[in-house]
Amino acid sequence: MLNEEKIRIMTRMAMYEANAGKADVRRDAWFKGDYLSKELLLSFLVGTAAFAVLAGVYAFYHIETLMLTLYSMDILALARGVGLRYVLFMLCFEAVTWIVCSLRYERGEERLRRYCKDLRRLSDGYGGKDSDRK
Amino acid sequence: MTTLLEIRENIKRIYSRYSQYILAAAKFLLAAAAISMVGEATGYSRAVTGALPTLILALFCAVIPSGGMCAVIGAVILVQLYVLSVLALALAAVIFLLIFLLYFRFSPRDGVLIVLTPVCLRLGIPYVVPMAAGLLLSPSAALSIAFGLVVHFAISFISQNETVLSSVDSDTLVESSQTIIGGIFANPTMLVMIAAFSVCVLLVYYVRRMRVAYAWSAAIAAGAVAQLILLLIGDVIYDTNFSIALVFLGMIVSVAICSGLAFFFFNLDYSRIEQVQFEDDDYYYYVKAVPKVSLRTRERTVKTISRTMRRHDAPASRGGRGAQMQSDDDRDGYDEYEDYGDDADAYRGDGGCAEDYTVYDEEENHG
Repeated sequence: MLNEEKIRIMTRMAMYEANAGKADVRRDAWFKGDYLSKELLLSFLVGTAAFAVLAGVYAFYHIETLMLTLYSMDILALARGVGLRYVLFMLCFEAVTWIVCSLRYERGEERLRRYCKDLRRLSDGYGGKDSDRK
Repeated sequence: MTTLLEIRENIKRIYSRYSQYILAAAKFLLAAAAISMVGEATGYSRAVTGALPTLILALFCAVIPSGGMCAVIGAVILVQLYVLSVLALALAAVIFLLIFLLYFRFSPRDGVLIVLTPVCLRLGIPYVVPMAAGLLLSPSAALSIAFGLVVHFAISFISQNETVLSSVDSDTLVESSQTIIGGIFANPTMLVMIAAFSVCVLLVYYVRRMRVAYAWSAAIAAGAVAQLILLLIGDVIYDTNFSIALVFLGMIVSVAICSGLAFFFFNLDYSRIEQVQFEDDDYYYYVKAVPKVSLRTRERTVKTISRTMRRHDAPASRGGRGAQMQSDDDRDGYDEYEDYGDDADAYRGDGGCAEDYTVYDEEENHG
């Protein structure tokens, strides 16, 4: 006799495993702080590369002005200006990373909790260890 | 309305049964449309945008994830621009690199919008994309749509200036690059559309999440009005040359499409709102429950009644309710009975010959 409730639980679990489950399990191997640190570090590298590309395009677009004022410009002021923009850009990028990754981690944990609950219910249905523990 | 609900339920049933094929077909059509449009706009190499390569690439896109589809279409664009000039290739590569670095790290699943936005723009209904994204996705979809617009306007600008790009040499390299970079990133039409679409996505998202009646309809209306106002203001300030009539027409079609989406994804019956109130040890709860408009499709219950009876037990005495004896017309050695209805069970398990009867109970429930 088919147990519809069991089928429903197993289908839900299989769908989760096939979609978000893999990433959630990978993420769950980290503590939240460590996960966020890793992502922030990765974002630092990616953001730096993106800023370099943007700065390169900007410099190329204004190359004539740069060449004309190269000998008369205050290099320190230029470096300070670029540095300030870099810091602002990275702050925004890291803030977005922190928000997105925090939300992603918390939602993943929630989904994983639900998955474990389903697993326990399924185990209880088969008379598994968890049912003995109750 | 009942007919519409029946159609909706049928479509849902068909979709749930064949969702894999329907999704693959949709991806195939989207990829084919995108590649054809790239070929139409650039068309420098038939090797990747001819009919057969388009078909093969679209088939390939149909079976890979949407992120892969973006990569394939990006590669097609790069090949086309490489044939035109290395400078065009370099500029497009920079744009794609920025999209990859800044965006795909966070939200690769919305990548399909980067392809869908230029396609809808070409069809004259780009306004449907931010409204649908606000209804069905998250605010981060605004970024995908913005990148889709950048890609579209970059390709358009490059194809309009192909003579400049194809005749670039070392003397004119800087000048041509400045023209193209300025033309792509300082395009007022593109900037106005990015602003209008981003505001629309955020507005639609927040209005449809509000706890008010007809939130989705209000969100669609708010999105359409916001887009109209921003596009008109942009046209006045930056002289973007929008055709007002086409904008209105596109907006009406977009609103119609989004209303269809709302009908499928969020159809509530606000006339039957229920307010309930209860309490537990710690709280009082004031709950408003809004029922979904749904129509259960006709359920056909098939009861197979196996009647067994001895040949000589002619049911003259038990013809009873609803059973009527007839002569053996088809000469199969048995008498025929018809219209057993709910009394048919009385004839089960008698031994002797067996006949099957089928009773159809049809019920239709309005939820």
